[in-house]
Amino acid sequence: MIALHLSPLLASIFSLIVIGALVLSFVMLGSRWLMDYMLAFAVQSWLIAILSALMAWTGGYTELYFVAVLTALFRGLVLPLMLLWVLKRLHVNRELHEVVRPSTALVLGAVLVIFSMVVAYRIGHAVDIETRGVVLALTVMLSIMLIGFLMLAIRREAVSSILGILMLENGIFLGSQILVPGMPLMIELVLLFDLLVAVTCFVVLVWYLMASVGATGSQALQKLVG
Amino acid sequence: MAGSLTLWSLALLQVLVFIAGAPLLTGWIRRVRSALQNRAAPPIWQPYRELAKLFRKNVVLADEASWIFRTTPYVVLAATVSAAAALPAVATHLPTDAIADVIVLVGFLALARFFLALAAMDVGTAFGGMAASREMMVASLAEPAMLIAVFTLSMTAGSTNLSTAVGYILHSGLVLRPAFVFTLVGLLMVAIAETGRLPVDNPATHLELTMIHEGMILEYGGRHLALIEWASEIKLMIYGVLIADLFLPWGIATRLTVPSLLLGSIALVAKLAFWGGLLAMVETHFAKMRLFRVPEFLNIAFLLCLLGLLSHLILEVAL
Amino acid sequence: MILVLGYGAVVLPFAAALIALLSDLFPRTVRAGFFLLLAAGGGVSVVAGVGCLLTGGIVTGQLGLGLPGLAWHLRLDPLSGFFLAVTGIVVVAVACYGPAYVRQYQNGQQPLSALGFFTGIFVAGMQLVLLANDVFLFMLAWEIMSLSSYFLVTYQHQHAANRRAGFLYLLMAEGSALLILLAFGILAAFAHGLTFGALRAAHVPVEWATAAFVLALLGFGLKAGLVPFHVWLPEAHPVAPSHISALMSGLMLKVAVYGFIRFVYGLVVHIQWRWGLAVLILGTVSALFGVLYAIMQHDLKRLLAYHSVENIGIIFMGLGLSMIFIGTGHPVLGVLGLIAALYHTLNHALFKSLLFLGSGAILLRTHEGDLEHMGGLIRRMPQTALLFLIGCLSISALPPFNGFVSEWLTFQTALQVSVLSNTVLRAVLPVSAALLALTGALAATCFVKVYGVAFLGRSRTRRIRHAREVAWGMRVGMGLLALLCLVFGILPTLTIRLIESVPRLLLHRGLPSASVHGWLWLTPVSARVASYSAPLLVLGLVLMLALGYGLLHPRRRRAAIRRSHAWDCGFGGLTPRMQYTSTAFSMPIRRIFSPVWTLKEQTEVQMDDREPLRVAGIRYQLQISDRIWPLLYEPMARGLQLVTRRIGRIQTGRVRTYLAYSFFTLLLLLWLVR
Repeated sequence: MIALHLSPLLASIFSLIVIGALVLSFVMLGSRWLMDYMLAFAVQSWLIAILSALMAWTGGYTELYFVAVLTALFRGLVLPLMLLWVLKRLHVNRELHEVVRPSTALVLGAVLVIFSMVVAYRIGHAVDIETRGVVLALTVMLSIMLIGFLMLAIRREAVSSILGILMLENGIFLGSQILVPGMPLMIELVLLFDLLVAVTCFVVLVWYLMASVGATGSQALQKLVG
Repeated sequence: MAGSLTLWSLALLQVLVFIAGAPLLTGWIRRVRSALQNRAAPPIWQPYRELAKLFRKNVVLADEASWIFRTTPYVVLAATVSAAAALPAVATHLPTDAIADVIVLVGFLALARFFLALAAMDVGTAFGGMAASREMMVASLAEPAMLIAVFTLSMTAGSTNLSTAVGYILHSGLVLRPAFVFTLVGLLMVAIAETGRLPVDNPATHLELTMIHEGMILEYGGRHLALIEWASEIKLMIYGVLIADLFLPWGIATRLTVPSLLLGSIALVAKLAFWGGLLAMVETHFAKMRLFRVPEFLNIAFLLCLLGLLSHLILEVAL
Repeated sequence: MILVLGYGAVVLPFAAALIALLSDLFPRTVRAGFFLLLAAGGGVSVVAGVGCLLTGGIVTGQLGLGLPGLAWHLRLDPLSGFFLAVTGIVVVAVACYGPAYVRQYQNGQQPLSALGFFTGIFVAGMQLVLLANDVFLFMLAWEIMSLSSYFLVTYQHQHAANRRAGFLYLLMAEGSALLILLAFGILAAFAHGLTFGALRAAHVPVEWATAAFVLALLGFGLKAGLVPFHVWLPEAHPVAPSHISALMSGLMLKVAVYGFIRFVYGLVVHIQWRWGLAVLILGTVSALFGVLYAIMQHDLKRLLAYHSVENIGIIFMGLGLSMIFIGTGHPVLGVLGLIAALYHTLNHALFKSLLFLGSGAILLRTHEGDLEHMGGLIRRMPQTALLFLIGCLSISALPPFNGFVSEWLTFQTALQVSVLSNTVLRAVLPVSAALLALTGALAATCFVKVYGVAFLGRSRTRRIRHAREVAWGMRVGMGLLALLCLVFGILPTLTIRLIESVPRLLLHRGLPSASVHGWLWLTPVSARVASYSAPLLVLGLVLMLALGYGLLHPRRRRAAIRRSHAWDCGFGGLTPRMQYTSTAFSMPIRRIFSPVWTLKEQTEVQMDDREPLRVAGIRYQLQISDRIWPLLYEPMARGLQLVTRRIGRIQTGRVRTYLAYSFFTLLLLLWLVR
């Protein structure tokens, strides 16, 4: 278990990075620009990579360095570049049809964070590891996941949806890094490649969608209903 | 008795220094801004010159102006100075600190704003009404964020009294609190909105449709205008000192000896110079937002403060 | 002795009511006598209330009135004493205000005697509710209060809107009475007898206590106007004559608060924190929605009525906090919350009555209730304008007025959240406090709008231009309330020392920490945690004002201040119609919080016929309505209609069928009887 034997300064830095990742998901939620989403996602991934590296350094898990590098490479570089390529080709740069206004979405996000906090305390209590670091990690993990879900629900552009899923996944990854840092390397790798495959599929799908329907908004999918 | 007399006179002195020094901060900000924008800077005491000029000039009142219009400058200045008096600037544990806590301080600034908005509507011009409406909107949205920030700080220090809070933070030493980082950013955004600085309001513009604070005082002239300008300079300084007190209290005099008071003054000047530089930088780098982006801006401030509070609850409050 | 004064507080208004019946015979004398008696009743009730608060004693009495075997039990304790004092103050102010105000009804369509009679009965009924010590008398007095106020709401029944408002009010009032009766019924089932003492002694299982609490919250909440039960309030309060609106908004809602406090703190006693959470959430929602709806109004009295919803919300927030702290085992903080709620009750009674009386003064002189038609009244009615300003400052919770003190106390209570160990509470309390801050700031926005549009600027209509200052009696009534707003703002420590005997009675402890450092310093928890010295602040403020004015005002320069046209960025040619209106002022708020209301906005642009691109005129229509109606009440009404139609099928109208019903009933009964 982490955050038990950390110096106060290090614990603070950990917490800062973790909450910083949460703030970035709010950036995604509050912005209208697809470019912002992507940048926020990239930075979030880098933060997670830094977290992994820090974890490796303090806990002495050498394989985590490897994971950190891979995270930075795949999530922080390859995936955003792929999405950038899609954005350039699709000529969409902002979310045109807002189901919920960004400022309202931010408030909803805040409510979700409070909810996650309460749930995190419950879970922490149930499994009897109620240390602060764990509760914080659980809260942030749950919040990022829920905000990802919220993105999926309230955004119509296909690219936003992809980013929503990626963010959801980022949340899980972040949580797993902190809660079970000794997770077998194999699983981490599988997760990473899984993601890569998923995004590739998405890109292809979006591409087809563009070609056949002429739009990438999910409301356009209604046309396909027989 | 002699002791308390000394204390009270020290407190009075602190307030006087505060009031007298406020235009200097504005001058400093303008100077840094000019330097950042490659312009020739006015001298740092330019605001004093402006005030002096305004005080010499005669007042011209609009035909419709009522007594509200004429008393508002005095009320605004008095309320702002009262708020300033409650703030430990150079030294803590002065008797004035106990008169009011942070919430009262915010209340006094609200009182000043209330009267200013009324005065704006008094003459019956559309500009005044527009500016009053916008000012009140910005203030309404800034208030909850401000309160959440106050909550975090007072929960950490166990007090809304600024002196006590400063004492607690000094006592607990150099600790990096994630809660404070987020609260600081949130509070900075609130301060920018409340003092009418650039991304929210433009203090230098006279382009009617974009202004908020300037629109409210459009009809003022002479010593009335001087009083209001002075009050807004003091308000800017209040936020600077407040943020310095809460997040960087180091250097403030906790004992009333001459060296520590001197050190406190020097530290205060340094912190305010930093605050002014920061503001100037923000003002140089950001363009003014559209009015209806301001709610989003303040919403983010609220969110940051809330995240600060939640991380405080998770990380620092006993389980 | 003190109980006799309490009786006086009921009997004198009742006597006034009886006298008022004669007012068509001797209008002048009776009017004077009526208001004199009313004022005497108010004065007596202030004396009784304050006396009771000072001594902290409890006196009980029994009267052989009413039904045989059900004697009236009366009791005067600090809780009822506090509310008696509050009612008394407002009644005295209204009695000063009344004589000049009701003159306008003298030759109206309705007899003045009816107005006087029901006013007297209404006040007597409220006082009797406060003194009641058994369920029977409580409900009786409650009904007297509700029914007499129904007649006051429909006093000007020639307008269809008033009749509709009256009906809605009656419906809600009776619904509330029914719920309250059921709540009492649950407690009574476990008790021996109907006196409050017996109910308090009863051992109620926690599930049943919760059920009783829910019923009481709904019942008293309905009467107090909590969201979503507030819909009757903005309909009923504005249509009554203004001094009656002041009584209803200022006092009757407080009687509902009294009932709630009496029921929860005085009868159920074992308070759960979950109840407190429910109360807190309901209060927060009411406060926020109340002020948001208020901002959108442009009818002054309707706006004030919505503000009552807001303030009742704030009071319930204080109560909710108090209940949470009591339920989690922190009774000292519970006391603080209760004191904050009671203080706000007092304050709201004062400033809301003041504002309603002020709006009545405007209405009397201009016959105008719509803000969009007002403007520049400060020059026409300078003294009313000053008093109204004090009311606005108080309700906006600005220091050094009274509204600020109670909101500050509520904040201080909420700030003690770190003593709680429950995470839900820890997260909810700060958020609700932030929403309270939002509410306060929005209230300030709203009253800048009210004062700016109504009193400042230029007059928008001819009626306003010809307004005159009101009679001195009305100014005295308002002045009394305004003065008290200031006094209770400056001397919170002394006020709290008085209020303290209420929690001493209910929770068996006071708040000694509040005034440890003397009357100058208010320190609710301890001096380390927070302190506020209103007298010193006011002293500083006044000194600075005097200094600034003395130094800067040109006494030596003989020349008078130059007056000229407004500068207005050099545009010139201002007309009153170019001013910002109430609708324009609230537009940013409307846009930001748009999901809160049902908005119907229409803009029609008419083009000039001759020049195709020139705009000849623009017509803008805006309709704002309450979301609660389509969300809650309309489905409810539809459901009710459906059910009644179903039931209505058994009413065939044929005699034989009815006989058959009786026959079957008889068979059934004979079968059941053994």
